Amino acid sequence: MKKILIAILLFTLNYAHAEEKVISLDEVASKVKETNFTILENAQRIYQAKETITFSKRNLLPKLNLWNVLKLPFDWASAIDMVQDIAPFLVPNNWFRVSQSKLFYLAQKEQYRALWANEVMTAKLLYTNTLRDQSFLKLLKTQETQLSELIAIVKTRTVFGEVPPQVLKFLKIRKLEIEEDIRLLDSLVYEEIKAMSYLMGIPQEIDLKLKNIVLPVVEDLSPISFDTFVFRAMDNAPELNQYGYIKEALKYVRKEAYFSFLGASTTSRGADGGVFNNIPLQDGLGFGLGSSVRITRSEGKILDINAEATKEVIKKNLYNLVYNFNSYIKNIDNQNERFQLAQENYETVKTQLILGMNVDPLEMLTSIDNLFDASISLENYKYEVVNTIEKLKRSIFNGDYTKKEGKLEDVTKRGEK
Amino acid sequence: MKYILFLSLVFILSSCKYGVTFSNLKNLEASKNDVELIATQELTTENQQILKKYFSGIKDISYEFLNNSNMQNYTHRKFSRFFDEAICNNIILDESYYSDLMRKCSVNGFFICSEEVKLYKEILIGIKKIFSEMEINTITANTACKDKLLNLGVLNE
Repeated sequence: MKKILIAILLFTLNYAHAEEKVISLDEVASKVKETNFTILENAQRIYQAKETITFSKRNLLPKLNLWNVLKLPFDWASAIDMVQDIAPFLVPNNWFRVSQSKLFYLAQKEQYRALWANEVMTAKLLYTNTLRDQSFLKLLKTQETQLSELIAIVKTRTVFGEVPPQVLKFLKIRKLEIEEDIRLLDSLVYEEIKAMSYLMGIPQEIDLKLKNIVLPVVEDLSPISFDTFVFRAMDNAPELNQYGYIKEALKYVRKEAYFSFLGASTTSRGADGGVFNNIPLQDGLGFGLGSSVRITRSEGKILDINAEATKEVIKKNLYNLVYNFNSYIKNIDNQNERFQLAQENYETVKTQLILGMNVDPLEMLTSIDNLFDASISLENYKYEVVNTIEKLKRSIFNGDYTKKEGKLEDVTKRGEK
Repeated sequence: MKYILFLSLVFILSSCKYGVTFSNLKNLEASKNDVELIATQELTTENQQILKKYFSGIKDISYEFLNNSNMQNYTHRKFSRFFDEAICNNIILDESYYSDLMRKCSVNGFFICSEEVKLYKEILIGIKKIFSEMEINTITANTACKDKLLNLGVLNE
Protein backbone atom coordinates (compact mmCIF):
# COMPACT_ATOMS: atom_id res chain seq x y z
CA MET A 1 0.00 0.00 0.00
CA LYS A 2 2.83 2.34 0.93
CA LYS A 3 4.63 1.54 -2.33
CA ILE A 4 1.49 2.25 -4.35
CA LEU A 5 1.09 5.60 -2.61
CA ILE A 6 4.73 6.50 -3.35
CA ALA A 7 4.27 5.46 -6.98
CA ILE A 8 1.14 7.62 -7.30
CA LEU A 9 2.96 10.54 -5.69
CA LEU A 10 5.94 10.14 -8.03
CA PHE A 11 3.62 9.87 -11.03
CA THR A 12 1.73 13.00 -9.99
CA LEU A 13 4.96 14.94 -9.43
CA ASN A 14 6.36 13.75 -12.75
CA TYR A 15 3.14 14.68 -14.53
CA ALA A 16 3.13 18.12 -12.96
CA HIS A 17 6.78 18.56 -13.92
CA ALA A 18 6.13 17.54 -17.55
CA GLU A 19 3.42 20.21 -17.83
CA GLU A 20 5.88 23.04 -17.18
CA LYS A 21 8.55 24.28 -19.59
CA VAL A 22 11.17 26.88 -18.83
CA ILE A 23 12.64 28.69 -21.83
CA SER A 24 15.35 31.33 -22.24
CA LEU A 25 15.61 34.09 -24.84
CA ASP A 26 18.60 32.32 -26.44
CA GLU A 27 16.47 29.24 -27.09
CA VAL A 28 13.67 31.14 -28.83
CA ALA A 29 15.33 31.26 -32.29
CA SER A 30 16.10 27.55 -32.46
CA LYS A 31 12.65 26.66 -31.11
CA VAL A 32 10.92 28.87 -33.69
CA LYS A 33 13.02 27.30 -36.46
CA GLU A 34 12.17 23.78 -35.36
CA THR A 35 8.51 23.98 -34.49
CA ASN A 36 6.86 27.22 -35.70
CA PHE A 37 3.85 26.24 -37.82
CA THR A 38 4.28 28.96 -40.48
CA ILE A 39 7.98 28.18 -40.87
CA LEU A 40 7.34 24.45 -41.14
CA GLU A 41 4.75 25.09 -43.85
CA ASN A 42 7.14 27.33 -45.76
CA ALA A 43 9.95 24.79 -45.47
CA GLN A 44 7.65 22.36 -47.31
CA ARG A 45 7.26 24.93 -50.10
CA ILE A 46 11.05 25.10 -50.45
CA TYR A 47 11.14 21.32 -50.62
CA GLN A 48 8.53 21.46 -53.42
CA ALA A 49 10.56 24.09 -55.28
CA LYS A 50 13.65 21.90 -55.05
CA GLU A 51 11.73 18.87 -56.30
CA THR A 52 10.44 20.96 -59.22
CA ILE A 53 14.05 21.39 -60.38
CA THR A 54 14.49 17.61 -60.41
CA PHE A 55 11.14 17.25 -62.19
CA SER A 56 12.10 19.81 -64.86
CA LYS A 57 15.47 18.09 -65.40
CA ARG A 58 13.87 14.65 -65.74
CA ASN A 59 11.29 16.10 -68.07
CA LEU A 60 14.14 16.54 -70.55
CA LEU A 61 14.42 12.74 -70.83
CA PRO A 62 12.24 10.70 -73.22
CA LYS A 63 8.83 9.70 -71.94
CA LEU A 64 6.19 7.25 -73.10
CA ASN A 65 2.80 8.52 -74.24
CA LEU A 66 0.88 5.46 -75.47
CA TRP A 67 -1.80 7.48 -77.24
CA ASN A 68 0.74 9.30 -79.40
CA VAL A 69 2.43 5.97 -80.27
CA LEU A 70 -0.92 4.40 -81.24
CA LYS A 71 -1.64 7.36 -83.52
CA LEU A 72 1.56 6.69 -85.50
CA PRO A 73 0.44 3.74 -87.79
CA PHE A 74 -2.51 5.83 -88.98
CA ASP A 75 -0.81 9.17 -89.31
CA TRP A 76 2.96 9.18 -89.96
CA ALA A 77 3.01 12.96 -89.90
CA SER A 78 2.16 12.80 -86.20
CA ALA A 79 5.71 11.49 -85.60
CA ILE A 80 6.91 15.09 -85.54
CA ASP A 81 4.51 15.76 -82.66
CA MET A 82 6.27 13.04 -80.72
CA VAL A 83 9.47 15.11 -80.38
CA GLN A 84 8.16 16.37 -77.03
CA ASP A 85 7.89 12.70 -75.93
CA ILE A 86 10.95 11.10 -77.54
CA ALA A 87 13.43 13.95 -77.37
CA PRO A 88 12.10 16.71 -75.11
CA PHE A 89 15.71 17.88 -74.66
CA LEU A 90 15.60 19.14 -78.26
CA VAL A 91 13.01 21.71 -77.22
CA PRO A 92 15.06 24.68 -75.89
CA ASN A 93 12.12 25.98 -73.90
CA ASN A 94 12.27 22.89 -71.70
CA TRP A 95 15.86 23.82 -70.80
CA PHE A 96 14.80 27.38 -70.05
CA ARG A 97 12.18 26.04 -67.66
CA VAL A 98 14.90 24.11 -65.77
CA SER A 99 16.92 27.32 -65.39
CA GLN A 100 13.78 29.17 -64.27
CA SER A 101 12.86 26.55 -61.69
CA LYS A 102 16.41 26.81 -60.24
CA LEU A 103 16.02 30.59 -59.90
CA PHE A 104 12.53 30.32 -58.44
CA TYR A 105 13.90 27.85 -55.92
CA LEU A 106 16.47 30.44 -54.84
CA ALA A 107 13.74 33.13 -54.74
CA GLN A 108 11.61 30.82 -52.58
CA LYS A 109 14.55 30.34 -50.24
CA GLU A 110 14.86 34.11 -49.89
CA GLN A 111 11.15 34.34 -49.04
CA TYR A 112 11.72 31.68 -46.42
CA ARG A 113 14.68 33.63 -45.02
CA ALA A 114 12.53 36.77 -44.65
CA LEU A 115 9.66 34.85 -43.09
CA TRP A 116 12.02 32.99 -40.77
CA ALA A 117 13.65 36.22 -39.60
CA ASN A 118 10.27 37.90 -39.07
CA GLU A 119 8.91 34.98 -37.05
CA VAL A 120 12.08 34.82 -34.92
CA MET A 121 11.91 38.58 -34.32
CA THR A 122 8.20 38.47 -33.47
CA ALA A 123 8.83 35.67 -30.96
CA LYS A 124 11.83 37.40 -29.41
CA LEU A 125 10.03 40.76 -29.14
CA LEU A 126 7.04 39.02 -27.62
CA TYR A 127 9.39 37.37 -25.13
CA THR A 128 10.90 40.69 -24.04
CA ASN A 129 7.49 42.41 -24.02
CA THR A 130 6.14 39.66 -21.77
CA LEU A 131 9.06 40.09 -19.38
CA ARG A 132 8.45 43.85 -19.45
CA ASP A 133 4.77 43.38 -18.61
CA GLN A 134 5.68 40.94 -15.82
CA SER A 135 8.01 43.62 -14.49
CA PHE A 136 5.20 46.24 -14.73
CA LEU A 137 2.98 43.84 -12.81
CA LYS A 138 5.52 43.70 -9.98
CA LEU A 139 5.69 47.50 -9.93
CA LEU A 140 1.90 47.71 -9.80
CA LYS A 141 1.84 45.30 -6.86
CA THR A 142 4.45 47.45 -5.11
CA GLN A 143 2.24 50.48 -5.70
CA GLU A 144 -0.72 48.57 -4.25
CA THR A 145 1.30 47.71 -1.10
CA GLN A 146 2.37 51.34 -0.70
CA LEU A 147 -1.24 52.47 -1.02
CA SER A 148 -2.41 49.85 1.52
CA GLU A 149 0.11 51.22 4.03
CA LEU A 150 -1.17 54.74 3.38
CA ILE A 151 -4.81 53.65 3.80
CA ALA A 152 -3.97 52.02 7.19
CA ILE A 153 -2.40 55.29 8.44
CA VAL A 154 -5.22 57.46 7.08
CA LYS A 155 -7.83 55.13 8.65
CA THR A 156 -6.33 55.76 12.11
CA ARG A 157 -6.17 59.49 11.50
CA THR A 158 -9.80 59.51 10.33
CA VAL A 159 -10.83 57.92 13.66
CA PHE A 160 -9.12 60.78 15.47
CA GLY A 161 -10.85 63.23 13.16
CA GLU A 162 -7.58 64.50 11.66
CA VAL A 163 -8.57 63.52 8.12
CA PRO A 164 -12.05 63.84 6.62
CA PRO A 165 -13.72 60.43 5.79
CA GLN A 166 -14.04 61.29 2.08
CA VAL A 167 -10.21 61.25 1.76
CA LEU A 168 -10.18 57.66 3.04
CA LYS A 169 -12.91 56.75 0.58
CA PHE A 170 -10.95 58.40 -2.23
CA LEU A 171 -7.83 56.36 -1.38
CA LYS A 172 -9.89 53.15 -1.26
CA ILE A 173 -11.30 53.92 -4.72
CA ARG A 174 -7.75 54.41 -6.00
CA LYS A 175 -6.72 51.06 -4.51
CA LEU A 176 -9.62 49.32 -6.25
CA GLU A 177 -8.53 50.92 -9.54
CA ILE A 178 -5.01 49.53 -9.06
CA GLU A 179 -6.42 46.08 -8.29
CA GLU A 180 -8.31 46.23 -11.58
CA ASP A 181 -5.13 47.31 -13.39
CA ILE A 182 -3.32 44.31 -11.85
CA ARG A 183 -6.08 41.97 -13.05
CA LEU A 184 -5.94 43.39 -16.58
CA LEU A 185 -2.14 43.23 -16.78
CA ASP A 186 -2.14 39.70 -15.39
CA SER A 187 -4.55 38.64 -18.16
CA LEU A 188 -2.34 40.34 -20.75
CA VAL A 189 0.76 38.46 -19.52
CA TYR A 190 -1.24 35.21 -19.64
CA GLU A 191 -2.28 35.91 -23.25
CA GLU A 192 1.28 36.83 -24.22
CA ILE A 193 2.64 33.57 -22.82
CA LYS A 194 -0.01 31.59 -24.72
CA ALA A 195 0.92 33.49 -27.90
CA MET A 196 4.61 32.68 -27.25
CA SER A 197 3.73 28.98 -26.97
CA TYR A 198 1.92 29.16 -30.31
CA LEU A 199 4.81 30.93 -32.06
CA MET A 200 7.22 28.30 -30.82
CA GLY A 201 4.91 25.41 -31.62
CA ILE A 202 4.65 24.41 -27.96
CA PRO A 203 1.31 22.71 -27.06
CA GLN A 204 -1.05 25.09 -25.24
CA GLU A 205 -1.44 22.61 -22.31
CA ILE A 206 2.17 23.22 -21.29
CA ASP A 207 2.78 25.94 -18.74
CA LEU A 208 5.53 28.09 -20.27
CA LYS A 209 7.91 29.96 -17.97
CA LEU A 210 10.29 32.63 -19.24
CA LYS A 211 13.80 33.09 -17.85
CA ASN A 212 14.79 36.66 -17.08
CA ILE A 213 17.23 38.54 -19.29
CA VAL A 214 20.09 40.84 -18.40
CA LEU A 215 18.99 44.35 -19.33
CA PRO A 216 21.61 46.52 -21.03
CA VAL A 217 23.30 49.35 -19.16
CA VAL A 218 21.95 52.06 -21.46
CA GLU A 219 24.41 54.62 -20.05
CA ASP A 220 27.31 52.53 -21.41
CA LEU A 221 25.97 52.39 -24.98
CA SER A 222 27.29 54.73 -27.65
CA PRO A 223 25.24 56.33 -30.45
CA ILE A 224 25.12 54.63 -33.85
CA SER A 225 24.94 56.06 -37.38
CA PHE A 226 22.65 55.19 -40.29
CA ASP A 227 25.56 55.13 -42.78
CA THR A 228 27.29 52.31 -40.92
CA PHE A 229 24.30 50.02 -41.08
CA VAL A 230 22.64 50.82 -44.41
CA PHE A 231 25.01 48.82 -46.60
CA ARG A 232 24.51 45.55 -44.74
CA ALA A 233 20.77 46.16 -44.41
CA MET A 234 20.44 46.47 -48.19
CA ASP A 235 22.97 43.83 -49.02
CA ASN A 236 21.39 41.19 -46.83
CA ALA A 237 17.73 41.95 -47.44
CA PRO A 238 16.05 38.75 -48.67
CA GLU A 239 13.20 40.92 -49.95
CA LEU A 240 15.64 42.51 -52.46
CA ASN A 241 17.55 39.32 -53.29
CA GLN A 242 14.25 37.71 -54.18
CA TYR A 243 13.57 40.38 -56.84
CA GLY A 244 17.07 39.74 -58.23
CA TYR A 245 16.37 36.05 -58.76
CA ILE A 246 12.91 36.64 -60.24
CA LYS A 247 14.37 39.20 -62.66
CA GLU A 248 17.05 36.71 -63.68
CA ALA A 249 14.30 34.15 -64.34
CA LEU A 250 12.51 36.72 -66.49
CA LYS A 251 15.40 36.62 -68.99
CA TYR A 252 14.58 32.97 -69.64
CA VAL A 253 10.92 33.84 -70.27
CA ARG A 254 12.13 36.24 -72.99
CA LYS A 255 14.28 33.45 -74.44
CA GLU A 256 11.21 31.19 -74.36
CA ALA A 257 9.42 33.73 -76.55
CA TYR A 258 12.30 33.80 -79.07
CA PHE A 259 12.62 30.01 -79.23
CA SER A 260 8.89 29.34 -79.36
CA PHE A 261 9.27 28.26 -83.01
CA LEU A 262 10.86 25.05 -81.65
CA GLY A 263 7.84 24.31 -79.49
CA ALA A 264 6.43 25.52 -76.18
CA SER A 265 7.25 23.89 -72.87
CA THR A 266 4.54 22.38 -70.73
CA THR A 267 6.85 22.02 -67.74
CA SER A 268 5.93 24.08 -64.69
CA ARG A 269 8.22 26.96 -63.73
CA GLY A 270 7.94 25.77 -60.17
CA ALA A 271 6.92 27.51 -56.96
CA ASP A 272 6.43 31.26 -57.47
CA GLY A 273 6.57 30.77 -61.26
CA GLY A 274 2.97 31.98 -61.38
CA VAL A 275 4.24 35.57 -61.36
CA PHE A 276 4.90 35.15 -65.09
CA ASN A 277 1.61 33.48 -65.95
CA ASN A 278 0.28 36.74 -67.36
CA ILE A 279 3.04 36.86 -70.00
CA PRO A 280 1.51 35.42 -73.21
CA LEU A 281 3.77 33.00 -75.11
CA GLN A 282 2.85 31.55 -78.50
CA ASP A 283 3.30 27.87 -79.28
CA GLY A 284 5.25 28.53 -82.50
CA LEU A 285 6.60 31.57 -84.28
CA GLY A 286 3.87 34.11 -84.83
CA PHE A 287 3.16 37.81 -85.01
CA GLY A 288 2.65 37.90 -81.25
CA LEU A 289 6.40 37.54 -80.56
CA GLY A 290 7.01 41.30 -80.43
CA SER A 291 4.22 41.80 -77.88
CA SER A 292 5.49 38.91 -75.74
CA VAL A 293 8.96 40.48 -75.63
CA ARG A 294 7.57 43.93 -74.81
CA ILE A 295 5.42 42.46 -72.01
CA THR A 296 8.48 40.72 -70.49
CA ARG A 297 10.32 44.06 -70.59
CA SER A 298 7.40 45.76 -68.87
CA GLU A 299 7.33 42.95 -66.27
CA GLY A 300 11.03 43.69 -65.65
CA LYS A 301 10.18 47.35 -65.05
CA ILE A 302 7.48 46.35 -62.53
CA LEU A 303 10.07 44.26 -60.68
CA ASP A 304 12.46 47.25 -60.66
CA ILE A 305 9.74 49.54 -59.27
CA ASN A 306 8.90 47.03 -56.54
CA ALA A 307 12.58 46.57 -55.67
CA GLU A 308 13.02 50.36 -55.44
CA ALA A 309 9.97 50.66 -53.17
CA THR A 310 11.30 47.84 -50.96
CA LYS A 311 14.67 49.62 -50.71
CA GLU A 312 12.96 52.79 -49.52
CA VAL A 313 10.93 50.85 -46.92
CA ILE A 314 14.13 49.24 -45.59
CA LYS A 315 15.84 52.64 -45.40
CA LYS A 316 12.82 54.21 -43.70
CA ASN A 317 12.75 51.48 -41.03
CA LEU A 318 16.50 51.72 -40.49
CA TYR A 319 16.40 55.53 -40.14
CA ASN A 320 13.65 55.18 -37.50
CA LEU A 321 15.54 52.47 -35.60
CA VAL A 322 18.79 54.42 -35.51
CA TYR A 323 16.97 57.61 -34.49
CA ASN A 324 15.07 55.85 -31.68
CA PHE A 325 18.18 54.06 -30.42
CA ASN A 326 20.14 57.32 -30.23
CA SER A 327 17.25 59.19 -28.60
CA TYR A 328 17.00 56.52 -25.85
CA ILE A 329 20.71 56.88 -25.14
CA LYS A 330 20.48 60.66 -25.11
CA ASN A 331 17.52 60.72 -22.74
CA ILE A 332 18.51 58.01 -20.26
CA ASP A 333 20.04 60.50 -17.79
CA ASN A 334 16.74 62.39 -17.75
CA GLN A 335 14.89 59.17 -16.90
CA ASN A 336 17.36 58.21 -14.16
CA GLU A 337 17.03 61.65 -12.58
CA ARG A 338 13.25 61.54 -12.76
CA PHE A 339 13.22 58.16 -10.96
CA GLN A 340 15.70 59.35 -8.31
CA LEU A 341 13.69 62.52 -7.55
CA ALA A 342 10.41 60.60 -7.36
CA GLN A 343 11.97 58.05 -4.99
CA GLU A 344 13.47 60.77 -2.73
CA ASN A 345 10.14 62.57 -2.64
CA TYR A 346 8.27 59.41 -1.70
CA GLU A 347 10.77 58.54 1.07
CA THR A 348 10.56 62.11 2.51
CA VAL A 349 6.76 62.18 2.62
CA LYS A 350 6.63 58.64 4.05
CA THR A 351 9.12 59.51 6.83
CA GLN A 352 7.10 62.64 7.70
CA LEU A 353 3.95 60.52 7.89
CA ILE A 354 5.62 57.90 10.11
CA LEU A 355 6.91 60.66 12.41
CA GLY A 356 3.32 61.84 12.87
CA MET A 357 3.75 65.11 11.03
CA ASN A 358 0.68 66.62 9.47
CA VAL A 359 1.06 65.41 5.87
CA ASP A 360 -1.77 65.68 3.39
CA PRO A 361 -2.68 62.06 2.40
CA LEU A 362 -3.37 63.27 -1.14
CA GLU A 363 0.18 64.60 -1.33
CA MET A 364 1.36 61.16 -0.27
CA LEU A 365 -0.81 59.56 -2.98
CA THR A 366 0.71 61.89 -5.59
CA SER A 367 4.23 60.89 -4.52
CA ILE A 368 3.29 57.17 -4.78
CA ASP A 369 1.87 57.75 -8.29
CA ASN A 370 4.94 59.76 -9.33
CA LEU A 371 7.27 57.02 -8.15
CA PHE A 372 5.21 54.42 -10.01
CA ASP A 373 5.23 56.44 -13.26
CA ALA A 374 8.97 57.06 -13.07
CA SER A 375 9.70 53.36 -12.35
CA ILE A 376 7.52 52.21 -15.24
CA SER A 377 9.11 54.73 -17.59
CA LEU A 378 12.67 53.72 -16.66
CA GLU A 379 11.90 50.01 -16.96
CA ASN A 380 10.17 50.58 -20.29
CA TYR A 381 13.23 52.47 -21.55
CA LYS A 382 15.52 49.53 -20.90
CA TYR A 383 13.20 47.07 -22.61
CA GLU A 384 12.73 49.44 -25.56
CA VAL A 385 16.52 49.53 -26.01
CA VAL A 386 16.56 45.70 -26.00
CA ASN A 387 13.80 45.69 -28.63
CA THR A 388 15.56 48.28 -30.79
CA ILE A 389 18.81 46.29 -30.71
CA GLU A 390 16.82 43.20 -31.70
CA LYS A 391 15.18 45.03 -34.60
CA LEU A 392 18.58 46.33 -35.74
CA LYS A 393 19.94 42.80 -35.71
CA ARG A 394 16.98 41.70 -37.85
CA SER A 395 17.60 44.58 -40.29
CA ILE A 396 21.21 43.61 -40.86
CA PHE A 397 20.81 39.87 -40.27
CA ASN A 398 23.12 39.59 -37.28
CA GLY A 399 23.03 37.23 -34.30
CA ASP A 400 20.07 34.85 -34.37
CA TYR A 401 19.05 36.23 -37.76
CA THR A 402 22.25 35.18 -39.51
CA LYS A 403 20.94 33.03 -42.29
CA LYS A 404 22.89 32.66 -45.49
CA GLU A 405 21.51 33.74 -48.85
CA GLY A 406 20.75 30.84 -51.25
CA LYS A 407 23.95 30.74 -53.35
CA LEU A 408 26.16 31.40 -50.34
CA GLU A 409 24.50 28.61 -48.37
CA ASP A 410 24.99 26.22 -51.27
CA VAL A 411 28.70 27.01 -51.68
CA THR A 412 29.58 26.89 -47.99
CA LYS A 413 27.55 23.72 -47.40
CA ARG A 414 29.66 21.90 -49.98
CA GLY A 415 32.75 23.00 -48.12
CA GLU A 416 31.45 21.38 -44.94
CA LYS A 417 30.82 17.99 -46.61
CA MET B 1 20.65 18.80 -90.61
CA LYS B 2 18.43 21.15 -88.63
CA TYR B 3 19.19 19.29 -85.42
CA ILE B 4 22.95 19.20 -86.13
CA LEU B 5 22.83 22.96 -86.63
CA PHE B 6 20.82 23.36 -83.47
CA LEU B 7 23.22 21.18 -81.46
CA SER B 8 26.17 23.18 -82.82
CA LEU B 9 24.38 26.34 -81.77
CA VAL B 10 23.83 24.94 -78.27
CA PHE B 11 27.51 23.97 -78.08
CA ILE B 12 28.68 27.42 -79.18
CA LEU B 13 26.28 29.12 -76.78
CA SER B 14 27.41 26.96 -73.85
CA SER B 15 31.08 27.69 -74.63
CA CYS B 16 30.29 31.41 -74.58
CA LYS B 17 28.61 30.89 -71.21
CA TYR B 18 31.79 29.37 -69.76
CA GLY B 19 33.71 32.22 -71.35
CA VAL B 20 31.72 34.68 -69.24
CA THR B 21 32.54 32.78 -66.04
CA PHE B 22 36.24 32.55 -66.89
CA SER B 23 36.40 36.21 -67.79
CA ASN B 24 34.74 36.98 -64.43
CA LEU B 25 37.47 34.90 -62.81
CA LYS B 26 40.06 37.03 -64.60
CA ASN B 27 38.28 40.23 -63.47
CA LEU B 28 38.75 39.18 -59.85
CA GLU B 29 42.40 40.25 -60.15
CA ALA B 30 41.42 43.91 -60.42
CA SER B 31 38.79 43.59 -57.66
CA LYS B 32 41.34 41.97 -55.35
CA ASN B 33 43.77 44.85 -55.90
CA ASP B 34 41.00 47.34 -55.05
CA VAL B 35 40.28 45.44 -51.82
CA GLU B 36 43.96 45.56 -50.84
CA LEU B 37 43.99 49.30 -51.45
CA ILE B 38 41.09 49.94 -49.05
CA ALA B 39 42.45 47.68 -46.32
CA THR B 40 44.03 50.73 -44.67
CA GLN B 41 41.10 53.10 -45.29
CA GLU B 42 37.84 53.92 -43.51
CA LEU B 43 34.97 51.52 -44.17
CA THR B 44 32.68 53.86 -46.09
CA THR B 45 29.62 52.68 -48.05
CA GLU B 46 31.68 53.00 -51.27
CA ASN B 47 34.44 50.83 -49.82
CA GLN B 48 31.85 48.30 -48.71
CA GLN B 49 30.70 48.14 -52.35
CA ILE B 50 34.29 47.36 -53.37
CA LEU B 51 34.42 44.56 -50.80
CA LYS B 52 31.08 43.26 -52.02
CA LYS B 53 32.28 43.20 -55.64
CA TYR B 54 35.28 41.04 -54.86
CA PHE B 55 33.77 38.68 -52.27
CA SER B 56 30.50 38.20 -54.19
CA GLY B 57 32.54 37.59 -57.33
CA ILE B 58 34.33 34.75 -55.55
CA LYS B 59 30.99 33.38 -54.33
CA ASP B 60 29.23 33.61 -57.72
CA ILE B 61 32.08 31.93 -59.60
CA SER B 62 32.24 29.18 -56.97
CA TYR B 63 28.49 28.66 -57.30
CA GLU B 64 28.77 28.41 -61.09
CA PHE B 65 31.55 25.85 -60.91
CA LEU B 66 29.98 23.78 -58.16
CA ASN B 67 26.58 23.61 -59.85
CA ASN B 68 27.62 22.92 -63.41
CA SER B 69 29.19 19.52 -63.98
CA ASN B 70 29.82 20.34 -67.66
CA MET B 71 31.80 23.40 -66.63
CA GLN B 72 33.74 21.28 -64.13
CA ASN B 73 34.64 18.79 -66.88
CA TYR B 74 35.63 21.66 -69.16
CA THR B 75 37.80 23.09 -66.35
CA HIS B 76 39.56 19.78 -65.81
CA ARG B 77 40.23 19.49 -69.54
CA LYS B 78 41.50 23.06 -69.90
CA PHE B 79 43.03 23.29 -66.43
CA SER B 80 46.48 24.49 -67.47
CA ARG B 81 44.92 27.23 -69.59
CA PHE B 82 43.10 28.92 -66.72
CA PHE B 83 44.79 27.80 -63.51
CA ASP B 84 48.44 28.02 -62.65
CA GLU B 85 50.49 28.80 -59.57
CA ALA B 86 50.04 32.54 -60.18
CA ILE B 87 46.31 32.30 -59.48
CA CYS B 88 46.89 32.63 -55.72
CA ASN B 89 48.69 35.93 -56.02
CA ASN B 90 46.25 37.17 -58.60
CA ILE B 91 42.90 36.46 -57.00
CA ILE B 92 43.25 35.29 -53.41
CA LEU B 93 43.64 37.74 -50.53
CA ASP B 94 46.44 37.54 -48.04
CA GLU B 95 45.41 36.44 -44.54
CA SER B 96 46.74 39.67 -42.99
CA TYR B 97 44.56 41.82 -45.27
CA TYR B 98 41.60 39.58 -44.57
CA SER B 99 42.07 39.82 -40.78
CA ASP B 100 42.27 43.63 -41.03
CA LEU B 101 39.02 43.70 -42.98
CA MET B 102 37.27 41.46 -40.48
CA ARG B 103 38.30 43.81 -37.67
CA LYS B 104 36.93 46.81 -39.57
CA CYS B 105 33.67 44.99 -40.26
CA SER B 106 32.90 44.49 -36.55
CA VAL B 107 31.35 47.64 -35.03
CA ASN B 108 29.72 47.78 -31.55
CA GLY B 109 29.17 44.01 -31.66
CA PHE B 110 27.42 44.20 -35.04
CA PHE B 111 28.92 42.72 -38.25
CA ILE B 112 28.35 45.43 -40.86
CA CYS B 113 29.99 44.03 -44.03
CA SER B 114 28.42 41.60 -46.46
CA GLU B 115 28.09 38.00 -45.33
CA GLU B 116 30.45 36.83 -48.08
CA VAL B 117 33.31 38.62 -46.28
CA LYS B 118 32.65 36.64 -43.12
CA LEU B 119 32.44 33.34 -45.02
CA TYR B 120 35.41 33.88 -47.36
CA LYS B 121 37.39 30.94 -46.00
CA GLU B 122 34.37 28.62 -46.19
CA ILE B 123 33.75 29.63 -49.83
CA LEU B 124 37.38 28.84 -50.73
CA ILE B 125 37.14 25.48 -48.96
CA GLY B 126 33.94 24.78 -50.92
CA ILE B 127 35.50 25.53 -54.32
CA LYS B 128 38.64 23.56 -53.47
CA LYS B 129 36.51 20.41 -53.54
CA ILE B 130 36.10 20.46 -57.32
CA PHE B 131 39.83 20.22 -57.99
CA SER B 132 41.74 16.94 -58.06
CA GLU B 133 44.78 16.42 -55.86
CA MET B 134 47.04 16.80 -58.86
CA GLU B 135 45.43 20.11 -59.78
CA ILE B 136 45.78 21.37 -56.20
CA ASN B 137 49.45 20.37 -56.28
CA THR B 138 49.91 22.40 -59.47
CA ILE B 139 48.32 25.46 -57.85
CA THR B 140 50.32 25.09 -54.65
CA ALA B 141 53.64 24.43 -56.38
CA ASN B 142 54.40 28.03 -55.50
CA THR B 143 55.46 28.16 -51.82
CA ALA B 144 53.99 31.61 -51.27
CA CYS B 145 50.66 30.37 -52.61
CA LYS B 146 50.77 27.29 -50.41
CA ASP B 147 51.51 29.42 -47.32
CA LYS B 148 48.71 31.80 -48.24
CA LEU B 149 46.18 28.97 -48.47
CA LEU B 150 47.53 27.36 -45.28
CA ASN B 151 47.18 30.65 -43.37
CA LEU B 152 43.63 31.05 -44.60
CA GLY B 153 42.86 27.51 -43.44
CA VAL B 154 41.93 26.38 -46.96
CA LEU B 155 44.71 23.76 -46.93
CA ASN B 156 45.61 21.52 -44.04
CA GLU B 157 49.23 20.94 -42.99
